[in-house]
Parts: sequence; C-alpha cells; structure tokens
Amino acid sequence: MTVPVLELTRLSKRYGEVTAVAGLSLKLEPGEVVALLGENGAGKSTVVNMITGMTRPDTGQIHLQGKEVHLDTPRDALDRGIGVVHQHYALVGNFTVAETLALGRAGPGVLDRKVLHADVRRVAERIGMQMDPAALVGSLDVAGQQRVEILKALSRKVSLLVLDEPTAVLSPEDAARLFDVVRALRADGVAILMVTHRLADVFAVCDRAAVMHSGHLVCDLPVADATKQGLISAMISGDTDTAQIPGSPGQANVLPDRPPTPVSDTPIRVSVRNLKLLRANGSQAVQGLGFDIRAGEIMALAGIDGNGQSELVQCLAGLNLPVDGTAEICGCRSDGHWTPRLLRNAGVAHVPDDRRRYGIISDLSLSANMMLSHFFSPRYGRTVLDRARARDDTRRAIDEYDIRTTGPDQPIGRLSGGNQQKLVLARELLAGPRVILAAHPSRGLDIRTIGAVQDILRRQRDAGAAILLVSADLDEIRALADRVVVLAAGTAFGPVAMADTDMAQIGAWMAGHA
Amino acid sequence: MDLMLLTGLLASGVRFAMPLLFAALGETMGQKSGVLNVGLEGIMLVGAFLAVAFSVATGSPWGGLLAATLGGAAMGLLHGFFAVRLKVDQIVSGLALILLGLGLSGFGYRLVFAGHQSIRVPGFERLDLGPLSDLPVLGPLLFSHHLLAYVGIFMAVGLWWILTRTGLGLTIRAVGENPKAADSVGIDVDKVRMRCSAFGGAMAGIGGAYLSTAQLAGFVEDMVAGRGFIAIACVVFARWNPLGVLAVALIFGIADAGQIRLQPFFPQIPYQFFIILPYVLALVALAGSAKSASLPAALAQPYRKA
Repeated sequence: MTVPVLELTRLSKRYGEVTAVAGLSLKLEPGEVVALLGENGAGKSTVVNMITGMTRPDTGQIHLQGKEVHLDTPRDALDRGIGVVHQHYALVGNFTVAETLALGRAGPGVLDRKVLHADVRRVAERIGMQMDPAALVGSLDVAGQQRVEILKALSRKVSLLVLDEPTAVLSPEDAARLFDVVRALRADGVAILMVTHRLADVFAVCDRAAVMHSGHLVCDLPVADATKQGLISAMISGDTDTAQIPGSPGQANVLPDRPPTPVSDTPIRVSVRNLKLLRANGSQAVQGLGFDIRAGEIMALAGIDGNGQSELVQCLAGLNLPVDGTAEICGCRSDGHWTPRLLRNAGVAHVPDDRRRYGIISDLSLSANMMLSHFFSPRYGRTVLDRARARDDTRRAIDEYDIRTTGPDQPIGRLSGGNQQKLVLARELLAGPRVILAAHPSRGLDIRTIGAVQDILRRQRDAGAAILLVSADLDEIRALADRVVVLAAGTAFGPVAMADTDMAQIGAWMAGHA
Repeated sequence: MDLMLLTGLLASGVRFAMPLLFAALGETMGQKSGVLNVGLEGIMLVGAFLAVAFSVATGSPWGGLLAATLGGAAMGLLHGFFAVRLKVDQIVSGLALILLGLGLSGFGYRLVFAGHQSIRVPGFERLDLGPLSDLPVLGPLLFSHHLLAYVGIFMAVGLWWILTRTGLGLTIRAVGENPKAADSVGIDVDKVRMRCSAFGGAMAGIGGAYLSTAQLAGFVEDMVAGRGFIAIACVVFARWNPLGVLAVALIFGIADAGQIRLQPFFPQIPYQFFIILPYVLALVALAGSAKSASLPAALAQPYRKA
C-alpha cells in the first residue's frame, strides 16, 4: 500500500458569491499522471493555486505524503516538493539557463559557473533532455522555454509536478517531446497533475482523467476506460453518466470536418506579394511570401509560433511595414498609406494573438473595451462618446456570445481568458468586417468556446468575409480552412487547397521539411 | 604647462565625480531591483546637511559620514515604503523626496546654525601616500585624493562583481527583470526591493556628505544643484553597469571641472553657458541611450501578487 503523493480532501473555495471549487477530493499516487480537465471557469486554476500555495482553501485538507500541510505561500509548496510549470512562464529573458536554475536556490555568495552548468546537465540527463546551460533563456523558442521551466521545477527535490496547459503553445512535434519527458518523470516516480483542455494530451500520456464542472469533480476514471465523447460531455454538461462509454477510446470526432469549398469567382480582398518581414529585433522573420485571400474563404496560416506569423498579422493590420514586397487589402497598399486607422476604415478586423498586450485594456470596463476598435468610426460619436450605445452593444455581445460577467461595467481584466477573447471577437465582428485577421483565436480556450469561436468564423466566411486564420492547431485548421500556407524556417510553403493536401504534409512543412 | 593644466583638470575631475559616483552606484542597485528613485537630489541634500551638522557636533568627518549614510538609508526606506510596499507611483514618491530633502536640509541648517557667522567644518583630509603622492602627474591624479574617493572606486568594482558573479546579484537582477519569476522560486520581491532602495538612499547620502565635507567644506542651501539628476543620467548612460557608472561619473566630473577652468579663458561668454555644460552632456547622453536592452524590464513597476 503506497502513500499517495497528494491527497486533496473536500477542498472548497469561494470568491464572494461565486463558488470556484466545491468539495473536491483527488488523489495522486507516485508515478501517476493525472489529467485535470474542465472548461474555462470550471475551477481548475483555483485547484492549481491551492496546491501551489497561491491561494488558501476555505475548507478541506491537503495531505502530502500522508501528512496534512498548510500551504500559505508559493515557498511552502516549493519546500514540500511541489513543482509548477505555469501556463505563462516566469522566466528572466537575459538570464542563462544555468542562472535561471540557480535563482532562489543558490546562496547569496559567489556563483561557480562550472557547478551550475554541471547541475543543469545532471537534471536534464535525468529525463533525457538536451539543454545548453549557457544559452540565454530569451533566445529559446516557446518549447525551449517550457523545457527550462520544467528543469527549473526539477532542479529542486520534486515529488509532484503540476503542468498548467503545457501543450497550448507547442507544435505537435514539441508536444510529443514533452510527453517523452512526462513519461521519463513517471518512470522516476514523480506524480504529475496535467491541467489541460486538449483531449489528445489525455489519451497520449495520462493514466487518469479527472473532469471538473462548475467547481465540482464530476468524474475521475482511468484513461483506459474513458472515451473522448464521454469526457467532452462531462466537461460541457457535467454529465457523468456518459463519461464512460464502452467501446474503443478516442474514436469520436470533436469537430465535424467540412469539405473544403474553394472559391474562385469572388473578389480578392487580401493580396500579398513577395513579402519580406523583419522581427522587432531586426532579424528576418519571413521572405518571399505570396498569397491571395478571396472574399468568402478562410486561409489558414499554419506554423509554429515565432516563424513570422505575428509579424505578418501585424503588417496586415497596419502596425508595421514590410521591408520588401507589397501587401494590398481592399484597395490600400503597403507602399502607400498604410496605418491601422486606414485599414480599419477599409473594413479590416484584427484579433491579436497577444490579447493582454494588443487586444484589451485590463483595467477598463467591457463596454470601454468594446469601443476600442471603433474609436475612429462614427459609431460611438465623434466628440462626445455615446456610452449608452457602447453599453447596449456590450450587453448584446454578452448575450450573443455567452460572456460570463457581471455586466458591461465590469473591468475586463476580471474575466477569464476565454470570456475576454469572446468580447474581443464580438468587438471585431461588430461592424461587419470585410477582412478578418484572426491570430490564434481559440488558443487557451475551453472546448465549448473553441466550438463557438469556430462557428463564428465559419458564419463570417459564409457571409463573405476574407479570413486569415493563424493557428498551430491542426485540428482547427482541418475544421476551418479552405486553403493553407505554412510558415517555417524563414520561408513559406504553399498556399495549397486543403483538398489537395493532408495533415502529414502540413505537419512536415511545419517542421520545416519541404 | 599644458601637462600641468591637464593633470589639474583630471585630478579635480575625479573629485567632482565622486558625489555623482556614490549616488549613481546606489541608484544602479535600486534600479536593477526595479526601484526608480528620482529623489536622489533630496537625499543628497539631506546627506550634505547631516554630514556638516554631525561633523561639527562630533568633531570628526567620520561622524558626519555615518549620520549622512543613516539619514540617506532612512530616506531610501521611506521611498521604499511608498513605492514598494504601498505601490505608489515611483516618480511621485521620488518627487516628494526632492521637496522633502530641500525643506529638511534648508530648515535644519537654519535651525542648527542660525546666527553662526562662520563655522569650521572638520573635512576629510587628503590621503598622503608620501613619495607616491609626490610623483609628477600620477601623484596628483591617482594618489592624492580623499580616502572616500578610493572607497567609491572600490565600490564600483565590488558592486559590479556582486551583480554579475554572486547569487545576491542574481536575485537582485531577477527582481528587477521579472519579479514574478523571482516570486515563483520563493524570493520575497518587496523585501529585496526595500533593501536595494535603502542601499541606494545610503549611497546618495554618502554622495551628499562627500560634497559638503570632502569636496567643499560647508553647507549651502540647494548645494547639490542638480547632481542628483545627473547621477540618474549616469546610470542610464552606463547601461546599469557599475563599472560603466564609474567611467561616466568621471566623464561628468571632468566636464564639470573643465567648464570651471574654461570660464576665465572666455570672459566675453556669460559664465552660465559654461555651467550648463554638464547638464547638456547629460541630456545628450540620455537622448543617445533612450532605448536600451539593459533597461531592467520591471523598472518602476510595483509588484502585485496575482
């Protein structure tokens, strides 16, 4: 009889009127990988926060290795062997990997670089990972930074590792590498709690699946006994009866495939020719990019983050200029006047990938955020703002998009990421755009919201909008795109009609193989 | 003759640089931890006053120095209390310190020395290294300064070493770059910042003491005359590197010494134009290094736990 690494007993947490977690009990054995599933707002983050000492439970106990503990600060959790890899990494860009691991562990005295570097190699080898101790964290890609976060957690004595949405930003190849690491840790006896939205992760690497719905744990069963369809219905409706359906797992399809319907007779809305773009640091992001998007089609821009997607979207939104080649949208040309204001007037909507930086102003209310994209349109008045109209629009958006909020006057920063995203979408689609630049519109969202977002894009497409969809998620591309262009290794592959290609080809392109 | 002139210029440049050096080194540590203190001016004034008052009271410049250090640290802590603990806007808190320092030092001086016509301030003696100090050129340049000047140069090297080579430096840099990362490994962000702010205040206090008891001998209202701001410019120009701060402070010091020496050569030009020289240099320096990758990413951003 082994002692569970972590045992949560009837944990509850309320925030004001809202019950975030209600009487949750969960057990993790050594070497067990448990998936914690649930929609946005189901209470997963609160559970993670309670385990990692960020918030204290109102009632209930936490037992570690059989002993009751009170985790008042992140330090308490760290000292007791709980490691976390948060969704948003907490890394210092101009530190080396070795310095990152030393932070908080080394004493105040002299740092011996040799010892620190050996330390990194030792931890990395334990889980079969390659890592250059002298590499600057800021120079690594998202997957590399995640590996640093994992090493950081493992550099302490860890019996439980919490991974918060670890695959949200990874390419399929990098996700597979992450799963190898998870398996190595499992073999090492580390218990892993993986918070995720993606059912593929569950079936790839997890032993048990625990599903939360509005604060309650609605099901907790071995993955071998679970089905995709069952887990989805448990997440969406809290319905436990269907979670366990006899039959082969992983058969059900989350999103209906749609036969691609290429359009060739509608007007060209976006035209890109021989485009060369630089990153903010001056390095070349992509060159020789060329494609057209016609009214009524969705062009997917696939590829792993950091291959020029952000630069392209920002260029098309008027936020930066190409160094070579031209872009043309609805009669505006990048070698003429090319500003966000002009392009918005021409009917361009922009759903940015970095929502917190470019999409919203956290401290402002929902209705104020609603006005942001329409600042120069007469919609809300020229001189005195028509706040009543903004509130009406916001109220309608709240109903239409099912945004969970106390009302149009609530600061948007208080909402969950998914609900913020829905407001951004509502705002961008408000004026009936002719071109939609949608960068990772469903990243980090729960299954139901993803479905809603994809429905919205489909409807806009059918209404005649030209849509550029930036995504690293093959499922999403398959579900939505008419044509696809892949950015990788500084160049572009495609565009090609979805009917003329397959996922293996797109995956190979994303990895940089022609 | 030219060599004599140059030697004198450089030697007095070193002296003029010292108040800037101390204040800028302290500010470097504060800014590295994410605390911007624009109130150096006020702290230096209080330091200058306390140094004079306690030198006279104790009869030793060291007593004055100690008082200035403690007074400066107290003001640094006050800044920390507002900016770090209460998360007040750091610029606002810094501006308040300037006014507070101006008032405290001026009022204190009148309170303590009211009616005294002339007071003799026991100042720092220049170090006499015997034959070394008598060397031509090198003697006046390297071996004839106040002990405090050597302490300042030593501290520049020491702080650089701490920042780049020790765990303490790693902690301070992490707090100023990404406080969340520091917090996530159990570092008390606010505590580190409070201590760096106090250290910065203490160093500004020493800078003020150098001004009133080593460079000059006595206190005059508003005697710091913008050096607190130039010290901040030094930090930016030196890209938050203590060794760079040493170099930049020397450049400013030499510019200051130079403008004084230039004045008699050009009597037709109003002397005010010479006095503004170091300030113009500071403006140019800031304009040239406005966007720098070495800027601590979380500078002047209060840290709130999620």
